[in-house]
Amino acid sequence: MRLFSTITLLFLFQIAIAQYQPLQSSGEIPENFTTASYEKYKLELENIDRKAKRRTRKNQKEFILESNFGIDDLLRSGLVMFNDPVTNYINDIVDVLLQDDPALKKELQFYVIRTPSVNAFATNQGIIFINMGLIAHLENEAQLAFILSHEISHFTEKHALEFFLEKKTLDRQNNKGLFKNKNFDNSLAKNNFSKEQESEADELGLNLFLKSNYDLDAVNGAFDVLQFSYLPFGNIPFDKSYFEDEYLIFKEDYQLDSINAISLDANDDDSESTHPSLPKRRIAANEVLKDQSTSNRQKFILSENRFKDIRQKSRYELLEYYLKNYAFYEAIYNAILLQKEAPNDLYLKKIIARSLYGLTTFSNADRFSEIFIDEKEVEGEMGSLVYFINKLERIELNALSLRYIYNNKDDFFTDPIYKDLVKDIFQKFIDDHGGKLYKFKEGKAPEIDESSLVKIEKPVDEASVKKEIEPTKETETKEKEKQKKGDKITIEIGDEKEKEEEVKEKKVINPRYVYHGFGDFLADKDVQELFQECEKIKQKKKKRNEDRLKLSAKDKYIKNGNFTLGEKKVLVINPFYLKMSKNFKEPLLIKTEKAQEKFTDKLLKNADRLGLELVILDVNNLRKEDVETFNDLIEIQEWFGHQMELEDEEMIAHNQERINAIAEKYDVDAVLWTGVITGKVKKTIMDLYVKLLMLVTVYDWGYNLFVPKGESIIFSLVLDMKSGKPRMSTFDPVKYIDNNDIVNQRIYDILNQIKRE
Amino acid sequence: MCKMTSIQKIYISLVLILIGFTNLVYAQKSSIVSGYLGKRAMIEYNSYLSPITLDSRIKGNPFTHNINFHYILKRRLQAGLSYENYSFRDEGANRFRDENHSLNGNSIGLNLDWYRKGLLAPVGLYFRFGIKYLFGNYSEFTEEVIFTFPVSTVVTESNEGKYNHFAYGFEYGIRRIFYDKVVFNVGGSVGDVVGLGIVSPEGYKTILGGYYSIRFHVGVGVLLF
Repeated sequence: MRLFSTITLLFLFQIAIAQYQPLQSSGEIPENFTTASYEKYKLELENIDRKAKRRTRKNQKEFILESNFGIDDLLRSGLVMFNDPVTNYINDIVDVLLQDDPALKKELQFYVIRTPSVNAFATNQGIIFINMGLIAHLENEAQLAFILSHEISHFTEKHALEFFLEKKTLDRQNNKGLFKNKNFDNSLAKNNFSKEQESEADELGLNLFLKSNYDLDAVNGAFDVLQFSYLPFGNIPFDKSYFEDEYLIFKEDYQLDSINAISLDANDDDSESTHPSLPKRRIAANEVLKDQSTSNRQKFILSENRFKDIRQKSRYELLEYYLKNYAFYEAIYNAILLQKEAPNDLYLKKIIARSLYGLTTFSNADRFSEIFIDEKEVEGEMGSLVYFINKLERIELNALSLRYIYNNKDDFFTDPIYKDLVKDIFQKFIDDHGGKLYKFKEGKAPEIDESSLVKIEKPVDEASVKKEIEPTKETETKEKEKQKKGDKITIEIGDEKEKEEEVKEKKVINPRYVYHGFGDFLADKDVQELFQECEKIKQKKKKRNEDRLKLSAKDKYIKNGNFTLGEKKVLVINPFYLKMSKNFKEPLLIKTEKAQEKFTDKLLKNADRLGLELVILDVNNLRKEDVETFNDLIEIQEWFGHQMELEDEEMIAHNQERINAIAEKYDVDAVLWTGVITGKVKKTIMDLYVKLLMLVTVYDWGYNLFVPKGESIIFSLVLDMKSGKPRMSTFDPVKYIDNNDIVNQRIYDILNQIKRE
Repeated sequence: MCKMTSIQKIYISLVLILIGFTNLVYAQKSSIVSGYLGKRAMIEYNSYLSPITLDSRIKGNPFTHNINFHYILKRRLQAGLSYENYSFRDEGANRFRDENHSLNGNSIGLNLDWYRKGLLAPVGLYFRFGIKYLFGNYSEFTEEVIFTFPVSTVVTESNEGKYNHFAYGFEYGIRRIFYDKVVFNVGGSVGDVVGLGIVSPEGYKTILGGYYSIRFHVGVGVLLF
């Protein structure tokens, strides 16, 4: 019966994952997200100990200001979700841990951050963040419970505030007295303090953990997870045949012979770290655990299936993150790992397709170095994939991307965005390699006798052979341990990493397998038409570029004042305002927040005057029922960031289909991001002196005497939502602070150019 | 300078106005001109003061009254039509000589304001070039005691007339807008009146020339359309 239910669950699980949709926040937006940072700051100020010394109170005030605004920036960044399955799961585990302390549970809020780094951290405000990367790596619920206990202890002991105050004290000492030497690095002292706090959190966290019925092995298991956190969550071999078929094959030497072994840094030196070394932490924890009873303890108190489901969702969710951040190697390898359990999962195939598309785009744009990973720096089986991708020539990468999508076109083309993707890759192929199209042959690649070819000779290098360390006292007492991380990896501890010598390659004469890469669809009529269409577009682009080169620098770009977009309705995201301190040293957080509130009103009033309809989505101005807006904002923020990152390059964003849906929902074609950055500038004696000499501007001098000198930048950027191309971009520095008339005038001017036909 | 008839003066004035406003048509075809919240026209009242009018010899109201109508032609350029009215009385007396000059008149003028780079008309620092046509009446009266033996004689001389001159000036100013309606500006200018004579202009010319050489003003106005 149990076997039957397990099989049924796995089957249903596969179906659920095969239709995977990225996670979204739901329900009501928590107060943390909607309350203004300034309000939180004021509330927290009431908790300052009035009897403390003046300097301490001042530092506490500074901490409260920075931490509240910093946390709110993170909450509104789009990386943090709420009321999603993963966050709800974490809250359920905390309910188990704190079932005897409901008062403490009330003070805490838990959120998940969509980032692959294996980490968690607690804030003074009681908000504890868990990174999705951590959940993706964990092996059981008990390990998560231990990590949560550790973080809860950080909160109960107010470590964040303590560390800030200690840092201030150390910095002050650095600048006077014994430590006046500016070269003196007080980071050692800070690290030591931090390590003490981590050890305390381990100890107190363990006490909390022990009160529950969770399995004690989870403690060392959690340390294992941290130890190998830099690796992917799995370690399966990659073979180039994964991307090969009867038409497209790759050279033998694209397959890495031997990977870099996963090694453990045995160095116990944690002097430059904020955390004690893992061996030290293990020893301290084992000291406490040795006397504990292990009976009736479980790895899963809630549900094993639920844990696996949540972990799997986290792994899937991180694929989106990798795509968004152009971590294409990681996206492909993690998708391949997940395909082990779900080989026909369409979502995973799409991730791989989009990653290949991304690699192609960056390669064709000569920007591959921005995303490049060196296989020599990769440990484990992922190194084979990295090596393979790095070996591909540009034309091979182009062909591979095309082939991969075309092979799956029956599945992919139900989603219109993939037709756009194919067209874009075809276009990139024609732009770069169109001239070589005649070399591509129909039919399969011929069988090649590799032995007849000149082979790569690798000189036997004795230096590359693992050195045997002469047994010393340390190595004698230290035993080689073989640890298993699940059933995935094997590691060795003890020896130094072997040095690698450069290998001289001899040139290899090989047939160009890539020219058979389109062997089956080259004769396809649709493909031929597409190629011709792309060739025409290429010629048009060439002519356009030639015409552009003839233009003077002045005429190449549309100047501010000459835009006429002819839009009646436009989406505005996150109107931006930043007030800086004198000479732009640091942001004035509270004044910025207040100015931001008024800025939205200015936008609406001016749009009203013009008869332009604005749909403003502002993450700083959400009500609790605006969860749909919140989710839309996250998508647009990510998409916008992608367009800014790519600048002139054309690349379909990872979430373009969702953006198309949002554009349709709000009935807009363009999105506007606009804002003001302003600050006072210190008047110097020279300023006044020069003005005194210039009698003609004597009243300008008089004006500046009484009116603060400042600088402001008012900018705007309008992007087309379908193509991502910029339609308008203005950047106006003004030598005044943000006077009401100047800001109003500029905003009106920007909106006027958007409205005018 | 040749004396012009009234018709010639009016003709020249109209030509100048026409030249100024043909820019309006040209301007419509180039960059978008937003003005201030869509408003490109304003009217201002300015009060001018010159250091010369602070001299103790100058009696009466030292301020002159100026009405200026502006229209924004380009993003950083606006043109204006001005009308000014002034009246001065210069009284100087000592034991032996009594001298009075009085001068009143009007001026009409054209001016162009260019705004500093990075700014948009009509807000901020501007540089102005303007030309004016001054016309009005003057009167001069001197009474001098000439000592002769045995009896002194008093010689009086009086003169009246009309005058007209052209003047030009360069001005620097700052214009701000409050409550999205009220215009405030402050500035200073240097200039010259043509045809007063280079060496020791006398009588009303002294006042006129001195007045237009350096001036400061404060103005307030309102946006129109």
